[in-house]
Amino acid sequence: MTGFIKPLRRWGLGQKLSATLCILVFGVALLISFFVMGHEERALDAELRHRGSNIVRTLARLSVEPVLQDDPWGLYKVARDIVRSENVMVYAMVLDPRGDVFSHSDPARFPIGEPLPTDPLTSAALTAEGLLIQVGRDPAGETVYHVTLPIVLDGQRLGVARIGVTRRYLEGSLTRLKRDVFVISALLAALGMALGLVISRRMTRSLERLSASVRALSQGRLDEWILVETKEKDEIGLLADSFNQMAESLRERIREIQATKRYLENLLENANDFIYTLALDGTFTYVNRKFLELGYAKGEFIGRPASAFLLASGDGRAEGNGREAFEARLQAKEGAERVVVVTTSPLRDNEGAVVGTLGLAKDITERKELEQRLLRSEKLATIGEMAGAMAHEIRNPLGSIYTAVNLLSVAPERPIREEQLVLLKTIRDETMRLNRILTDFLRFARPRSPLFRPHDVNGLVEEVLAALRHDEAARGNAVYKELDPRLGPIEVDADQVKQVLWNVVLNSLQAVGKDGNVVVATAREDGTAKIRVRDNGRGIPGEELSRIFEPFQTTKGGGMGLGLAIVQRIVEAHGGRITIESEEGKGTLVEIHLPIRRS
Amino acid sequence: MGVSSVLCFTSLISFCGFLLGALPGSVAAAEPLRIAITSVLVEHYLDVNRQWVAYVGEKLGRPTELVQRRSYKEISDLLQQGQVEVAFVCGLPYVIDRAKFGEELLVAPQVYEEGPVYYSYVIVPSDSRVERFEQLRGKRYAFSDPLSNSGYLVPTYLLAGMGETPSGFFKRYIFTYSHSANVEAVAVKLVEGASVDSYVYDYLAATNPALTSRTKIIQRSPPHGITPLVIRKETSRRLKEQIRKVFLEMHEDPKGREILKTMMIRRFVVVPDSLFNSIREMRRVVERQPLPLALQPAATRK
Repeated sequence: MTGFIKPLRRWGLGQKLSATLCILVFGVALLISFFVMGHEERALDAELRHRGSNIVRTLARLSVEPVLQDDPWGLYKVARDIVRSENVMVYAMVLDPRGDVFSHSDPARFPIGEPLPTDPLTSAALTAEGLLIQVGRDPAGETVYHVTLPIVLDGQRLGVARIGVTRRYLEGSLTRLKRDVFVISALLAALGMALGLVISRRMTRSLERLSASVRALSQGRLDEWILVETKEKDEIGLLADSFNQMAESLRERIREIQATKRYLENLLENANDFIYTLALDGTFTYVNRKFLELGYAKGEFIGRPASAFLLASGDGRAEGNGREAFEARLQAKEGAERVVVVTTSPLRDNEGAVVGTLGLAKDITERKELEQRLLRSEKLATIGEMAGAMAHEIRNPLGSIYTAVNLLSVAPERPIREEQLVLLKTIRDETMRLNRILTDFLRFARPRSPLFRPHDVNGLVEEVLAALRHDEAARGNAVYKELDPRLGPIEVDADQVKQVLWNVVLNSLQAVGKDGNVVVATAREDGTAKIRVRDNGRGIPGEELSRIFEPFQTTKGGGMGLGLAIVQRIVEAHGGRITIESEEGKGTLVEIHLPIRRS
Repeated sequence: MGVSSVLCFTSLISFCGFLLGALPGSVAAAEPLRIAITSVLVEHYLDVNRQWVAYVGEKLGRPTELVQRRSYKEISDLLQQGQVEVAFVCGLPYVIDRAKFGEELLVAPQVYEEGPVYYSYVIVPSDSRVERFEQLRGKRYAFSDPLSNSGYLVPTYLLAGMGETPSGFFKRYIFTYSHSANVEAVAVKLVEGASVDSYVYDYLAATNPALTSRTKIIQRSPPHGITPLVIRKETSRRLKEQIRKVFLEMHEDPKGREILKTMMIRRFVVVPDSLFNSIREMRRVVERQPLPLALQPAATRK
């Protein structure tokens, strides 16, 4: 039973309703048909008895004369005609008073003069006063009404008229009726089913849409849920209305939540700090977009221990669960590592249990560098102040020494020896070298602001190169010029630019030695005046190149190593920039860009 | 005698004087000539009978009236009493009535090539195992009319030859008063055998083979004088001649020929009284036996 009912539970409302309607209609139709057929059957029964009685009376009346005239042939024709003319007839016969067949509608089977096979009806009929009806069945199982009536004339019994009427043709019509009723019932049932389907379809269409919408909502497909429309204002209609309201507000909430989530994600993702979460085992569970700057993909962090990337300096721990801040270094895949200040706090679930660590690492690399540079500047400034004061104090006695030596060598009170003269010259040269060093130092320590005037850079180059020809360091080396005549005048401090050219070209000349050459070129490029100084000298080693502009860096004797530091300071004071490329053994290229227009 | 059972003329009583007087066109001229037959064949034969009776009247120039009765006995009575002038009667009633009240032969139809003769057939159902008349002992049998030659005298003559009577020989026998009914009674097996007029049987075989095919002929009698058309002795000679002339010339007249064709009769011929001597002889033989006879039509039942 349950095996039968179980699949029914999976039926839709429509199927259940249709099936119920179908069964109901079919059942009612069958009930009615059984009632009608029962009624019909009783009516037919009465009708048959009535007709049988009438026919047998007719037969009895028509039999009198043939019986009296001993005319079985004549009676046969009567019996035959009655059987032929009445569709209910099975047979008609007349028995003589002894019960023998006088004549029969089927003489071949019931020969005249032969006794009829004895049956209760025949026995009863031979002595009966009136009509007798007996219900029997023929060999085919059909109901047969045997009706008898005595043939009596003037009180004399001539025989018995007997007929058989059958329900066969009526059975036929009954069968047709049953079939019709069944067909109509089936049609009605089908109609009921169809009606059920239509009704339930109307009912369930809204429910199905409701259900689909709920599914869409529950799966988060907010844009797919359909507004359940129904014009019906029945329970389903009300339910649909309620659902619509609920769905609308739910969608609103969900959108708010999603918006908030996106906002928070944006906050985290776009934060300028490294934000991450760690599991209890110290592996990354989340990193924000900032981590991409380290050159890794996000996937390369997730699930790996934080210690592989985050190296705490000091005793700070990346996965520290306190709220302390500590400094650490973040390993980068490409480029320099980052210095960060990490603040951590425990991550708790809704019950308050610690489930991990939230970390925030602030990138302080630049600040750190800035601090160091500042520190250096301050140091330099302090040194500069002190050195400047000292240099100034030294310069005055140097001037006196120089003057005194000059006086001694030009106009001595008494003639001095050649050896003495050489000594005097040495004093004078060293004094001048000291003065130069002091001048450089003062320039570096006490830079003055440039005084911008329009000048022809090409002219300045010519001047410097002309002056350099007299410098002993430049002697014997060729300096080539490739000056761009389109350059025109630009606003520069002429003395400072000449100082720059002097220092750079002199460095190159000193680098090439004998048979080397130096090319000085000017050009106008991208709104700047470009000055290139190229030599084929010995070049600068890499480690020196990286610190080439730092003060007091020198590879040659006779200087304080302030030349290029001064150059860089002047160029930057002009808003320009200077780059040096060099390859050991092949030469060096210095490029200076000065802005043509001063903003 | 053959046609007599079919068309069954009975005697025709002609009051000669009356007729002669009537002929000149007196009041009696309106008196119709009445012709009697027994109704023995199938239904549509009524029409045929009416046709030739009307034809005769047409040729005579006076009205005719068809009188139909069930049995030969009734027709004999009509002839004797002068209620009809002309009748188709079987050879048996003719020889009886001729001896009794002197009716005369008018003409007789010729059906078969042999002449104005016919036969008595013994028929049984087509599926019957009976092959000879003698095998019908103890069976149900149908005669036509107790005054029929072929339908009664011939079989009883046969029985007499066997030293039997119908009631002794058959289990049950009935009279149907119709040769066609005899064929039908055998076909539906109401009886197991019957004697029939060969003319009727052959006519039915031609017009209703479905019926005759359910029967078969097991015996055929010797030829006997066919059913003649008789006229009352009293009828005037002139009328007798007039009527005879009509019949004798019928096959020469288109309309008459058409009627004859329908009746399957070749022509009418004059026949001598001696044609029926065979019947007289059979009757003589049979009457030596205790006969239930024609005058007791209500047949006995065994």
